[in-house]
Amino acid sequence: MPVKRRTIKVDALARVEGEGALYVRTAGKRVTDVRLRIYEPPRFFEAFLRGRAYTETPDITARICGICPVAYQMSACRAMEDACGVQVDGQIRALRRLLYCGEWIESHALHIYMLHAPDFLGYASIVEMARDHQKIVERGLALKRTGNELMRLIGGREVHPINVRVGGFYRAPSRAELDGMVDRLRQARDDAVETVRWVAGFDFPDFEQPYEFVALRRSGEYPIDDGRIVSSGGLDVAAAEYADHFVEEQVPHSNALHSRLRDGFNFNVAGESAGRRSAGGTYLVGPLARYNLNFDALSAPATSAARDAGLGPVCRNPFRSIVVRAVELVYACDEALRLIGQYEAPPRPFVDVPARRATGHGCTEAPRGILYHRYAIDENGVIVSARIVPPTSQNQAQIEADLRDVVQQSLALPDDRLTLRCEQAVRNYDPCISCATHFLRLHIDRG
Amino acid sequence: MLVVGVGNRDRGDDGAGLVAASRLGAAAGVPVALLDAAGDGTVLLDAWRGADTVIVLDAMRSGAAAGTVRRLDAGPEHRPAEVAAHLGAGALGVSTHGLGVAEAVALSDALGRLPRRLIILGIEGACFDAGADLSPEVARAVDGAVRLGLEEVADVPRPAR
Repeated sequence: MPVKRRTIKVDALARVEGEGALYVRTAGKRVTDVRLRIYEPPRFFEAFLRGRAYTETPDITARICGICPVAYQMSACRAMEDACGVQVDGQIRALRRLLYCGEWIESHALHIYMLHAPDFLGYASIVEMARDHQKIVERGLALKRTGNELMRLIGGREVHPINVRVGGFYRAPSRAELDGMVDRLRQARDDAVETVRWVAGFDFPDFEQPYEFVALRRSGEYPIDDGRIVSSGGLDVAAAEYADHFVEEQVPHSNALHSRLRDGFNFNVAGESAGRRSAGGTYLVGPLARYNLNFDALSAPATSAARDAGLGPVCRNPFRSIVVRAVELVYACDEALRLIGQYEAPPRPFVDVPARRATGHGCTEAPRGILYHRYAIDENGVIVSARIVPPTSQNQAQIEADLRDVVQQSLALPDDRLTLRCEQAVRNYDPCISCATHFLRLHIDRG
Repeated sequence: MLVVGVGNRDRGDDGAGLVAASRLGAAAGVPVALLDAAGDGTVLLDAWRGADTVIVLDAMRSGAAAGTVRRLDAGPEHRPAEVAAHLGAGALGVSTHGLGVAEAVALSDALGRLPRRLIILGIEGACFDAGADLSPEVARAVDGAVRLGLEEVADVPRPAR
């Protein structure tokens, strides 16, 4: 008897940033092929950074993404400051973190409300959802607007901020200007708590994965702009050691490189033996990874929102990432309020960063996960080489692994429902394909 | 009354709507909101919040001859969902991110807060290359779009000062 074959194809994935497609092939009760194909054209940013001045990186790399430009600016600045041997801290660092909170609020609100929630409520898009849930959608838009306003206040404008420079900012806001955001951020924090309650009530597929989570970690704070790169498998390294532990490889079906943890590395934290290493070195970055590795560092309102939503310190169900993202929304609003509360305008909005011949590394937590930059510059500060590893390329292999298991578990579903489930599984990652080409059509081939 | 320009000045003809909106606003003496590479379409909803009459100028890619100017009435009495579907079918549905102008119109309608009068003037672009200037035929079409815009403004009773 011939084996029944199915092909599921989504030629242009909706509700993701950028352009990509999905192809799944099954034979009988077995998934034989899963490919997340990113066909958005390559961007060549690393090549055209060569020959530019080290001071230009925040403005050039911000253009990689309209949703997470601050992440690019922060990783770029930190890498250049690392190269030049300069540490930026105090109120300038606090302002960076505050700007970054604006981006987390804006990006998380967009993904939770506009892109991901329609999957759980059975709508094709936010437009159909808005007809039945006006107040909820208005709440999402208000949250997003507050994030945008915070970005405009600190960054000069909400997309591709213009106020960021290597060493700090061109202008620091006054205490009074930041005080003007407090009432809106308090409302946003309340709205974020409501968001956690709302999404916690969705139906989630019973699906868990043995992920290796990778995120930043720094004692005493939830990771945004700084920290060591740690994993649930025991990795604990500085940003400068990134290339020793992660490898990027080209795959024929995607314009985005796939990242993997190098095999054979034996971590040893506090004398403990190496953790489990997932097959093929796949790993996961983003809200789920940050949450699992830094639960203890969440603020009290974020922790209590998580507890009320039934989340413990460990969550391995990627479909619940929408709840975790909402918890991070609470955190970002709360952290912004804390930073504003302790703010004193710095006497000078930046520190000097004189160029020297060196290589620098920067890694910060974009809304979608860790974003690594490395630059080599010469004695005049001219960029000799650049390397940028965005979160979505790091998640690509894991997205494919999730898809394989989701399809395997859901083979009884008819093609249309299986396709929707696959798209939802991809959107769990809030993939930013524009960044990763570095998004989505789905093909399920059942023969 | 509000004039909104949408686009990206650094992407050739995609800047046509921004140029046309600035000139229309100056010529008509009405407020202008320029959404220059402003991200997703939800910022449009924020931009036209509370406005009674809105004229949106944007570049389009519909397959028409470069420099063609199209007028679309997307006000609440004009079946905005269909207008949006029409827009999304290619002309103005091009956006780097999830929500473009078409989705912004449809979302605004679903939320019951479309401006009472919403006119979209689309200018067909030819070249959307990074760093390019406006194409000659598109630069000329901006004049035509501004004239059309002034006619729309003239149709609206001005509030007494």
